[in-house]
Amino acid sequence: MKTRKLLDYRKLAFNFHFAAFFVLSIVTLIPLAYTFRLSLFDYQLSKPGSLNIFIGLKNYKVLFTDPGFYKSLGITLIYVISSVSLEMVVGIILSLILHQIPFLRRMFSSMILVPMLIAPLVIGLIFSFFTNPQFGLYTHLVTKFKLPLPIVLLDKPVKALVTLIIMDVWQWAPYMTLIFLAGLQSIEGEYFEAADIDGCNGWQKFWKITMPLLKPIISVSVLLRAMEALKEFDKPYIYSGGGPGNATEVIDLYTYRQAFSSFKFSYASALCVVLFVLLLILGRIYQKFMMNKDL
Amino acid sequence: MKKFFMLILFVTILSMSLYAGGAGEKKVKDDVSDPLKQFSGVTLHMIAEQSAPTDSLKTLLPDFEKMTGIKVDLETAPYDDVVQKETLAFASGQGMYDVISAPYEFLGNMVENGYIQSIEPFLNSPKVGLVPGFDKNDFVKKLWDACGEWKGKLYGTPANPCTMFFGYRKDVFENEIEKKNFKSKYGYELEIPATWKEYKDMAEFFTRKRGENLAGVKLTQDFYGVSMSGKRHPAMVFEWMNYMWSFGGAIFDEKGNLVIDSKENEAALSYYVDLAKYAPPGVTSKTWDEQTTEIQQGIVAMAILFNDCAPSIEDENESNVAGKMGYGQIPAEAMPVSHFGGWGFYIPSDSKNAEAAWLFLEWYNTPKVQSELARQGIFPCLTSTYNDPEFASIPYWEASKDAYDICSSRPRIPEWNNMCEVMQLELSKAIAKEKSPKAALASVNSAFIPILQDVLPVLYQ
Repeated sequence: MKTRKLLDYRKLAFNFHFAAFFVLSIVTLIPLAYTFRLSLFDYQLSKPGSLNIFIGLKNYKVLFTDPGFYKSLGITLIYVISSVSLEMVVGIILSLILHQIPFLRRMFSSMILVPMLIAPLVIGLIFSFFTNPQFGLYTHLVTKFKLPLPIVLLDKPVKALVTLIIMDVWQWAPYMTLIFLAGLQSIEGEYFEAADIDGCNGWQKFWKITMPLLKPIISVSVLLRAMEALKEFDKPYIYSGGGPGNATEVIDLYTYRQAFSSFKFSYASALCVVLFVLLLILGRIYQKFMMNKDL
Repeated sequence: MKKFFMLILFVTILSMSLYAGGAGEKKVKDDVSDPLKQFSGVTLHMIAEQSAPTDSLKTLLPDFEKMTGIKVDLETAPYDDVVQKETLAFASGQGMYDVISAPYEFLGNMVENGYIQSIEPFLNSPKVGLVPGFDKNDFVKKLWDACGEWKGKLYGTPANPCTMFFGYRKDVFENEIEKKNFKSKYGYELEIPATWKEYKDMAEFFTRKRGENLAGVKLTQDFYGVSMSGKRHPAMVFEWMNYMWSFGGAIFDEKGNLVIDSKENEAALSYYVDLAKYAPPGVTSKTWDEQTTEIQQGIVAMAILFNDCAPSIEDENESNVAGKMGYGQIPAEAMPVSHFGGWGFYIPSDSKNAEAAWLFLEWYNTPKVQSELARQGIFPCLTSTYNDPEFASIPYWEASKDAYDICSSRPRIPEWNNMCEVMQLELSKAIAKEKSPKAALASVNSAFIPILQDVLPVLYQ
């Protein structure tokens, strides 16, 4: 009787999983397999009849000697590390402020959601109007108050990249803030009471209680954001077009250009596969964090 | 319950069959005796750039539908996305579009890949000229050759032709104080620049700070000599190619060999990079859109621009300089130059309604439609419309006609898109002073070699 019940459960579980697996296969696995297959060919839309030219791993060989790939990968890493670190710091500071002042929390918790709700492409457009050297509000403020800031932001590689990082921080720091705020609210007050009795000051309480207890949440949020930021495309595409030169050409933009401007579909597929592997590694780290029972 | 579901299923199938029957019925020709109505009920799927010419075309489509009974489902997309959407549609081979609008430089790519079909069977058919007023001899030949002809065969018709010319603030150029000051500083008259030296002199002369005078009026904001498109974008490459040709440079020499890193090209790029100091700040973030805005705002004295920007510059509702502009030709040193930048209408090979699509192309190229487009500020494709006295008073009309006479096309080979991408990157680096003009062109040359290895020498472009 018990075995039969178990079998029924297994059948039921299989049915449930099959539906999910079927949908996943269609929307994820099949395109992924097709992308990998395409990366083994020399399919270029500008080369008639190239769809069936099998070249094995040549695209990967070319990719690992392509300076454009390394440059865009380097830019992406700088972008991800800088923006996510800043988002984390801003998120912690804002969440601490909001946690300490309930009045502000009530007022701002829904307001700070706004940047997250705007499509990245629209954010790129908003910033390009905002920082327009002729009629942008930013230009007006810098000129009017004689602020020690540059008016033109897209003429030098470093300035352009920094602007994009600030744009990302503006969009995603609120996300971090909300997550950390939820984390802060879940910390038991008893820890702080005990610390008070032991005579700890605020700084000690922050480093010895708040941060260790927030650490798992911070780690997971940072990982999730890093995975998202690695796939950045919209903002540099619309704001700087990857320029000046290739100073803001992140890996997704580079891949897009290879596919849709140079029409090298197979090479772009190889780039996608490499990016997928990178994300997979990050995903595994994330999974490890989630599985860790100490968290 | 089971019966209920069966009933629902039956009703659904029945209604779908009725709908399908109805749709089929709709395809029955309204009037078989009228050849213009022979495709009545057909829907043409079309894609074009989201732009002023397309907006104007939309306003005229009801006339086409009324005349032929053919419905046009017009999809629009921004410049960067149109070709991508079309290419993906071609690759799928599903016959998604019956008429496409594409920049003419993709002609070679589309033909060599078999994506579009020749229009010659339609042109040579006894049915040609079915639409009253259509005359294949009325096309401006240079436009039709650039947009439609590939290796001796015709594949499309021109659409939204535009070419680059010189635009300047006529009111300040003709101001007596400015003329006098210019002559005393440079020793010659202030007129439309004929050489690049004069062009730079004028750019320098007109670059002024807020508070200085311009044409006797105190400036309330900085004023600049030129407006330029320096963003990593096709706009920059197209603009620079005018300098390249005028300086005597080229991408391929007469034997089809690559000469992108020639001395002439280096001189043209050095000049272009240096000229940027007389342009409003942020050249590296500008395309033709921002350039048009700068002119409209009245903060620049002159520019090399596409003539299809001129209608919005002359629009009093949009521009501070409407009626104050003059138009002429780009300085010509080695040769007269005007970079042609039109689009073409093409019929994809997988179109299911090729004949109806051709009827649309005929209708679009009738003097009636072209004149209506011209009234809305769009450049026509027909000689008769250019010569129509109705349009002679438009400020940029004559200069445009002259520019079409001397215009040059960019390469239309399948590799061009890839080449343009490389040029955007390297020229952008030169403007951002990341690389010297010489190093940037050397990099372009190195990147071109693998792209062109199978097609050099390029004797047909």
